[in-house]
Amino acid sequence: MNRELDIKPPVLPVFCAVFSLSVGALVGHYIALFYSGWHFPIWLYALLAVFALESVYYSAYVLSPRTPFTWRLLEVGMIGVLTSLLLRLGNNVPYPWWALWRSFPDLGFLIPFSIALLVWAVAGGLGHRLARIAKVRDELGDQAASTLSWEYDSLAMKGANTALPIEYFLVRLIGFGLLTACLAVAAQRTGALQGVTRREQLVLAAFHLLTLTSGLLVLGCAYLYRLATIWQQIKVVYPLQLFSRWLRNLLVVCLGVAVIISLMPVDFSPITFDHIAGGLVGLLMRITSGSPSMEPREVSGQSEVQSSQIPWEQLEGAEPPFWVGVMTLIYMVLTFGLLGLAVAVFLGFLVVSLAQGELERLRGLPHAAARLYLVVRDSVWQLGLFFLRYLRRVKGVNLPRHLAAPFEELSPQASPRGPRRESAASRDIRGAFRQLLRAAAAVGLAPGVGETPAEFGQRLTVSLPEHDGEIRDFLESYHLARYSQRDLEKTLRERALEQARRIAAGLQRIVRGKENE
Amino acid sequence: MNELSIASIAELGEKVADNIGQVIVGKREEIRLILTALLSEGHVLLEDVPGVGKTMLARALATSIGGKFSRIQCTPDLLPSDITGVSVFNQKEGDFVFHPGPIMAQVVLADEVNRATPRTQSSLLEAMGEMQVTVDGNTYKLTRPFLVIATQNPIEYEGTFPLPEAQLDRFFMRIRLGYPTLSEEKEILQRLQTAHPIEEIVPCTDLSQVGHMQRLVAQVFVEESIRDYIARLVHATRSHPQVQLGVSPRGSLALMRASQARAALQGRDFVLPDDVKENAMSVLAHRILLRPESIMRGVTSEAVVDELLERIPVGAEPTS
Repeated sequence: MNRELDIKPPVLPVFCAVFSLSVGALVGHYIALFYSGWHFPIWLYALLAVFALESVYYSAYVLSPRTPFTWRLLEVGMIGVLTSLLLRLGNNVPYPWWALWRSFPDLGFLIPFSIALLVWAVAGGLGHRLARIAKVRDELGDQAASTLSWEYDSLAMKGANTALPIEYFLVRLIGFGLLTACLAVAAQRTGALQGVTRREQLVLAAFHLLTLTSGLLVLGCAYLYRLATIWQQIKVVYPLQLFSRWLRNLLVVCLGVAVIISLMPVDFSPITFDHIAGGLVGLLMRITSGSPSMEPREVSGQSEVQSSQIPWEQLEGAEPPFWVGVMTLIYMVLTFGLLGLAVAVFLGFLVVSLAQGELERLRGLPHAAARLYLVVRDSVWQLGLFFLRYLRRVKGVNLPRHLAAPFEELSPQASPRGPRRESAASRDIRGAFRQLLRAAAAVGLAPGVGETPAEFGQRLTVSLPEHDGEIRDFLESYHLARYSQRDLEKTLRERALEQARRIAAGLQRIVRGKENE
Repeated sequence: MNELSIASIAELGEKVADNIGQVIVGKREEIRLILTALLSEGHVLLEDVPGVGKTMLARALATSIGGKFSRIQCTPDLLPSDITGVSVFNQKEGDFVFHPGPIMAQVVLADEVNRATPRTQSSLLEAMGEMQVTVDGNTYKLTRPFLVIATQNPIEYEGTFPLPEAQLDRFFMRIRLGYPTLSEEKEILQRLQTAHPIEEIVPCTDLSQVGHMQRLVAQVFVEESIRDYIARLVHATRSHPQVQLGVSPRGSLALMRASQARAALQGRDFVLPDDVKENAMSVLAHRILLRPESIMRGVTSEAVVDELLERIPVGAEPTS
């Protein structure tokens, strides 16, 4: 094995963490450029570095399908708490340190928290990829241990496998390259870079360079690491043209990014940071009914004091009647219940989308949220189907083909008769059975959709116990007429028709009895 | 086909079931299902907790049909050669001599099959499918009738290699014995107080007769609407919203064959929709792979089959 292929696994997570950190820092600096009300704080570098390293090492070495999902949620919570605490360094924050929820509508908190979350997620994703490479290595190791394994032979003969490794990080690198390219183009064309100092320009350039370098390092090292792991196990000779192919692919990626940067019409896009941020802040203000966000902090503090005083004064003035209390309680329960339900359903949606095939491994809160989401989704689906069916029945609206299929499948076939030639006796007995079905339907004993003639006969016997033997004999004749190849005798036909007449008479007696009542 | 032949299948089936019934108290329906599998030349996956009589059932069946019984206790270190047999060098003759493995029997019990490694499982399942084993380049045909009863414990999955869907599909039917009722348990205690009845039962048929019955079963008449019903039932599993992977064409063939066997065991030379419904659960349920979210919601493949049996029309007669 070549010396340069001896990549140690502990180095790779560091590159991944640096890459995630540089992507996050770049995004943060561009946000600071576009939105003058926020500056990139120094402490955010430390926060990003800590969570990038934590996330990548945790995902690469600790996280497994059996790890409770709650751990990941706790990590997110930790990011929020640390961001909220660090926000207080050198800032005048109008709420106490333990009132974390009051920082949610504050953009000064939201922006660093979102950046930290992005870095944490990116690093986690890269760490997960590294774990997959290691898993491939383990599987190959197990197979190589058995010299008789046919999988070993098939792997050793599989030349096409050599093209796969570059896919491990390529899509992510292209994605983040596009993101930073879009930000750079947007900054250039909207004139956001005009008032930037020399120092800030240098910082931006440094982070662009760091992103590119660390990204290429991640891709290259992961590529070579995987090649080393595969070829060590299956003892394939290292083909030199693979390295040149890898370089060629990277060149294509770089050219693609350059073309996109040059041609992207960012300045014509209606989706701007101001629009999105404005919409989000407006939504948050509506939810929190006027809590501080874009307003100056002193003013918002006053309005909060005023709004919190009004209800207490009213309560002190006159005691409200009992029903007001009950109504208030119901209102609160409904409001908080619905809000909780909405949050849980949203969480469940995230969990189901993220966990996908691993749903059965979930435990605790994520499990409950996922179940709730599935129940709500199914209910909405059923309700929609019900309305569509109602419209089809009442208004004559045609269902779309894919929705109509499950219902149309249930309808009985127009002609269940096969190509077999039927004798006259068979036809008569089957005709008598059809008449019996109609007579039974008239007394509320219509056959079920998936009911066999024998099951129908058992149900009929309960209503006509005095005809027990006749029903059994007639069904035997019907079975012979309907499902066997035999030619039925004339006597059997006569007997069956007579039995059918007597059973039908019994059913008519039930009808008459009901009418008399 | 003549009446006597079918009548003899029903009669012999009853005799074998009675014979097994001397050892296994109750469980008449499960015995009938195993006889169905035997007559259909299929193999059975018995999924149940330990100690409910799986081994005794297999031994009693082997004795009843006059066949050889063998048992394989599957463990992670079991090798394919432990099942198929191995060629040993004979120094006197200067040649390799084949020592047949436990697979060379009429009724083979593979106990806790999910504890064997995938390689060993696949060697067993290959023998089940091909009716032959290949050792050192030599192919050895297995003698008919050949029935594998594999068992697995549905409770404990630690340290096991669960059978993948492709291999589950090779089992003709999956049966669950379940615990005996209170009265059955008391009868077991009474019967086994002094000696085990397995030593007392005698063959009530022979291998050639069983082979003849298997050939007759394949000739039981299946009317067009019954084939249509089976096809629609199987097809519905593939488009069911809660199912990720539906039943394969091998499953629909198995359901038809099982229905034929059940009809023959009841003395009929034609299949009824009831035969299909009676066997659908055992033949189809283990071939259905549910979506993860459905599993999480507590949906079982048995519930899916039940639902389909209720809503797919049997096509007896038009109702309007």
